[in-house]
Amino acid sequence: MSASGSTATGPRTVFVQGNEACAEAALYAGLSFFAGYPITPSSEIAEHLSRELPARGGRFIQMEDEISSMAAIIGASLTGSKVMTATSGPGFSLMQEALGFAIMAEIPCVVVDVMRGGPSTGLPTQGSQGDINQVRWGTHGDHSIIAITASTHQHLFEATVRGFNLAETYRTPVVVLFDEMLGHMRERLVIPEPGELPTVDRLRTSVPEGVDYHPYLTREDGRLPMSDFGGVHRYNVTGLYHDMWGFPSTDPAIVDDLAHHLHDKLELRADELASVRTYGMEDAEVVLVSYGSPARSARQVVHEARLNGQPLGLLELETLWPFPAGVVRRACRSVRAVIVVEMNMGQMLRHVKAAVDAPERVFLSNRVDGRFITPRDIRRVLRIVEGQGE
Amino acid sequence: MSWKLVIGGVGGQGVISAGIVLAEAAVIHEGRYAVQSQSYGAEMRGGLSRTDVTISNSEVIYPKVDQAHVLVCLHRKALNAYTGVIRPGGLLITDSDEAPIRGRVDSRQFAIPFAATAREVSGSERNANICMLGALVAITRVVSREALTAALLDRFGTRDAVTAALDAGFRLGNEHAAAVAVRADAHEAGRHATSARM
Repeated sequence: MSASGSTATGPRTVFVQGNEACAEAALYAGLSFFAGYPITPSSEIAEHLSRELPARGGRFIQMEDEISSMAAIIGASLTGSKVMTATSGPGFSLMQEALGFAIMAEIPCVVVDVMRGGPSTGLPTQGSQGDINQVRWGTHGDHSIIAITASTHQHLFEATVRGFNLAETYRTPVVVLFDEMLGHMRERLVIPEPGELPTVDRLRTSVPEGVDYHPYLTREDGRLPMSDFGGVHRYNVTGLYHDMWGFPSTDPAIVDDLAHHLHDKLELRADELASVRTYGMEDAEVVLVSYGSPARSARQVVHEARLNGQPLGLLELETLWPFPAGVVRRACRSVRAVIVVEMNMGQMLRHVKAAVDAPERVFLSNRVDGRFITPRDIRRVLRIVEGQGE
Repeated sequence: MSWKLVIGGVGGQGVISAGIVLAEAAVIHEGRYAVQSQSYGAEMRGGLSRTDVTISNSEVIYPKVDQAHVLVCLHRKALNAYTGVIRPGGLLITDSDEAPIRGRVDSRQFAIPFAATAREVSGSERNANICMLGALVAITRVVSREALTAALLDRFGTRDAVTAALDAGFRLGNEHAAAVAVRADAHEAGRHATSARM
């Protein structure tokens, strides 16, 4: 990593890969434990943290596989650490079982998935956005999860810090999703000064030693204060439905409460959790909806269209799950057409169609051959939608 | 103004390092914006290697290069594969020994013996990429000479071989740029002569 200036404080301008930007953001957010197994195109995250995390007093462990990586961060999080792992599709598939455990046991953790072409080992060195629905539904059972993404290194830095904040606030796994293009490309990043971006620590119980602590007794505001495992309180943690003590229960009232709690704590906050960026949306008659690195191609199209006076806008989603349906519906109300730009077979398209008032006016501009989607690809679809031929 | 460059060669020629150093010169030493990306794959193992670099005074939105102002080719394989990326009237800079230009390419052309020069002044062809960066900057001024020098020293440290290859690159670039300018003047003069006869 090359940097201008070497002062300990003050913003630092660096020229780095997206993977390094993500790793730096994790450190900024207070990461203290990382366990992972290297896989292209995410390996630079582990590589960077293997040097930087121990140097800053944290722990880095290279595990034997992704199953144990996910299990290790869950354990470390329970003891009070801010934790992360990073992988790509094949490794993310292996993490699904433990990811479900973290959802059920409400354990804060950040999982980075740098997407490559799939299914299976697919296209290791080329970009894709094929894991969008896997992130939502990869682990079994009714559940909810947070997934966020970004299209520039600066925004990725902010999104990753936010990912830690959301994980600690809502006691949930947060998936930071981006693709090979952003992970491997290098661009300028200004690392903010400490304090410039908010960082959130988990709520810890005020119950003193020697007094019963109920790990799953929600406060009136719905939050669950934590107690560092191995510390002053003894309690149970399980993947089974459980009572306020953390012990297994099949009591229908308890099961019903917990099922609703796990769902509602995120799904009822979809608007609050929604993060979007807009370009030229004020008077847009046609709207591009995109996310991750393809949003850069979409933004380039909007930039050029605006220079020619064409009323084109971009709605860039940074929160993917819970899907910001309300924001999408409001943004696409009364526009002539919506074009979803993504690098898969239309995984977000169906959710956009379900959200808007006129699904028949939603189209797809995609690319699934491993190459990066170009402004030209998008303009071609735009021309067809506008009835101008190719 | 944004500059879009593609540098191509084969694995081991330091094509990707060259792209990174050039972009770092712009971002770290000139406070400008740049994006550098590369193609991976089978290309890592002795096959084709390519890096795309965009340098701009404002934020770079689209990160790839579809139409390059400058194409640099350090190997004939790259020349064969990438000439289509150059925009009409763009610059084509090649290693005159390793990537001789055959056939017509609509571009201003600079054929310079980077590998041979690097071997001669620094004792190793491995510095051909540094020699190329010197010439590229002398011809295009895409970044300042000072910024490139600083970025190279950041990455490789102060080594005689590095500075020798760089200085040779600057010198060759200047000579070739001057020669092309002279030919362009002659071409202009010729056109005036033609129109005078009509």
